[in-house]
Amino acid sequence: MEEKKGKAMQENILKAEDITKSFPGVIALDSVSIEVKQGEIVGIAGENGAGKSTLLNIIAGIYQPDSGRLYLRSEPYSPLNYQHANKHGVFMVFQEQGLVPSLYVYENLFLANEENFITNGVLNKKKMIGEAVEAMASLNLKIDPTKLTWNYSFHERQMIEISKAFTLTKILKIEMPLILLDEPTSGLSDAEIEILFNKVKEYSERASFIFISHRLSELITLCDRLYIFKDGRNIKSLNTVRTTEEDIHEYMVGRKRESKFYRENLQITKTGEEIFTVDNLSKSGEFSDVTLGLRRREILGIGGVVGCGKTELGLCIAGIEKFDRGSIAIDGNTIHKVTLKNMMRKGVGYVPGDRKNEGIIGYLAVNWNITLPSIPDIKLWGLPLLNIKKENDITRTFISKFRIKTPRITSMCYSLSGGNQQKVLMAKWVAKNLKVIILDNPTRGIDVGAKEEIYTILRELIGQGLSLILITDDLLELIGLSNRIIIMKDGVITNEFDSPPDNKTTENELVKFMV
Amino acid sequence: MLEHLSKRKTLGVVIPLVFIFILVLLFGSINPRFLSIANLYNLIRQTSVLMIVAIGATFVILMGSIDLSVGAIVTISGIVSALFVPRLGTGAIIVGVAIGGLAGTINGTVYVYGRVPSFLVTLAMGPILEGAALMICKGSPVVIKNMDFLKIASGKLIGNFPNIGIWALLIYCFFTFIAFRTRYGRYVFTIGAGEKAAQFSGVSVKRIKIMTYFLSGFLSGLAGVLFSARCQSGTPRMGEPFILDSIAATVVGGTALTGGSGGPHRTILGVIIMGILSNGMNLLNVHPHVQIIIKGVVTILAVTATLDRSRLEFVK
Repeated sequence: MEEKKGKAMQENILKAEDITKSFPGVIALDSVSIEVKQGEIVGIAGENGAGKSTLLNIIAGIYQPDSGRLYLRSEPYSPLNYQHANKHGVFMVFQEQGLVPSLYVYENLFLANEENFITNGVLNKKKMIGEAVEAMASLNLKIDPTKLTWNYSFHERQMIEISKAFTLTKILKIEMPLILLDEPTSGLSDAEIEILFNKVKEYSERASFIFISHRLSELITLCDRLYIFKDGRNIKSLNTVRTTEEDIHEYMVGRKRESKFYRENLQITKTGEEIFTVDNLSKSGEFSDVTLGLRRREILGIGGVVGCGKTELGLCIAGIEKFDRGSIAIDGNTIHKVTLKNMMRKGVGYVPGDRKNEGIIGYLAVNWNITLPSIPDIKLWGLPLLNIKKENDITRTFISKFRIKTPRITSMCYSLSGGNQQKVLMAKWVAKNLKVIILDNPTRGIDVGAKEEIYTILRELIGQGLSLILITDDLLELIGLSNRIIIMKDGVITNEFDSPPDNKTTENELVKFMV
Repeated sequence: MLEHLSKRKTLGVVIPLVFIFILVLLFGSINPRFLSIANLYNLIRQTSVLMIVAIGATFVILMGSIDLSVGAIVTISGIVSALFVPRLGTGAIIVGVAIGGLAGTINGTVYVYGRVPSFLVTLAMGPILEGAALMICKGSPVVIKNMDFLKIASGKLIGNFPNIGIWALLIYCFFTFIAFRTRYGRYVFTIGAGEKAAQFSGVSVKRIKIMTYFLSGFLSGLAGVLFSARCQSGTPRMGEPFILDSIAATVVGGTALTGGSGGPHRTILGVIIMGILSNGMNLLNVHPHVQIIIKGVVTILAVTATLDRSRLEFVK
């Protein structure tokens, strides 16, 4: 490790200056600058939502920055799309896989670059397959390129994706490519990670890498240098030689938590009896032996990095997805049929994290969205007819109670801002008079003002006697809001913290059990 | 509700009305016979069957799916009920309607539980039912002579207003109520606008989908019975034109193929437009083959005007 590249690394392959990118409601990158030298492996560390993936997507031409400049090999560089970036020698291994499952592996490897295999106007499949076999062999992969891609498991496809970046470098005859690895190790076995790392080190003679991982130890082992991102800013550049995981934690977290922001003065310290019990719940490949209990008028926070199983746990205890083993009880009574409808009947609701697809319906009016889960409860003359007057009353109540800004109660939901859509989503479930609400990232992608309002709403719900399970990627939110915090890692609970208003845990303590 | 109609929605009603006005003016000025009361009743007779089929199609389209088997259901229900008339008299209505409902339920079940795209299931159901109908009637029309049965369509209960028009209006009012005042109706809109979110809200998506295909089959079955009563026979291929016409009427009326917006109350406008087009072209002696071409063109134009492409990631 000491003599990492004695060779000349003086020249920059990539330089990003003041890159800013915002999405509706959030600034993903705020004037970020980085440099990557030739033959260097640069790591980026940061919490979920710190802007790491966004930066890679900009370098790969998938997103366009709002402002800022990119230079590649000291030339101004503004890729129009991913293919354009490829031509300039920039390749990316995607976090959400970019392979077409219904194509053969070799077709995927050369997708959109087939022109390099044309002989007399037709595709030379033999040559493609030959190259592909060679590519697989060079990574020691037991993958047959003439098989359909869907035959391979997630981690095998991940390796195909990685070999694709290497192969394209070769066939496009690029001298010094820049390869972007967006969490390539999530879902890989240790043996595969080792192959990958060896390959990356071997290639670093001829290529430069930017590497994103949630596993800090990997960043330290593999990278020459590290950038630490926080809230869309590049806050620190570190040499990895004498860096420890603790050092990285310090920089990654350490945001100041304002207790007022999270309405901590409203946190109830005397919670009631256990109302919702999860006993030894397991779902293969997602989580195992999860046991937890939610008390009345409590906010129970569940944290962990993306992929730790907390989202799947939420879906399973809400009855949306099936689990393999274990049981769920409400008020001590075991629920035998855990389906969403049954859970709703028993007083449990689920506010999904994917607001746009699973939460609200953009092309339906605000009133129709808010009353959707309650329709069976508000009958007319005891028949399954719509009680339009009551529906509109409920809608008006929540528009004023949650301060939802909408021109009319019949306005289409898509025309509302993200924060107001989120409030509609909350209203939808609160309107149903539930006992327990499970929330998955209730403030994802909304601005600070709207966040504050959601926090107020959550405290009000507790005041009304509800109990909440809060699954969130935002550590400060987790600490600020929760009475108790459960941390998950690789599908199991690693620790539980009490988080009373006068003695809140710190991000550092939680992160230790997350990574 | 009405005071809250947004601009887009208002336009959606105004455009078909303007179009109807232009067509009436055009045909009326070329052939004054077009504007006679006799021709109005004629128009009602010609469009009522389509009205009933199109109401079913509207529910399916609102849900974001499609039913291409309506034509064949009209045919088989028409033929089988015609065969049962000598034995059951007006009771043959029930046979036709039951066949339609059953075919629709099969459509829905295969679509939902077999996870086969709805257009494919119903496209294939078409020839299955057409073939069955041909086998049953041995390829020739089944003539109906029972006057009581014929009267359900051709009789006149109220003044000179044709009975078949009463059927169409009753169905229209009843299903507009179903769409906007019942839980089932609301769920149909919800599934069309956002199936995943509907599922996450506790809507029994599968059940609603099957119910909707049942409804479409049921109404096509009823339409088949009435059509055979109007034509005094159940005839092979009699339902064929309804496949395109029912979709066209729904879309021209302002129900988007993307699902979730529009409604059966709009479909009456589409039916009137399609009806006036045929009726007017008949009076002007436009060759039937040319009429088919014009209808096809109108359908494409209507889809172009109503499909909200911003909601589609890809147009397939």
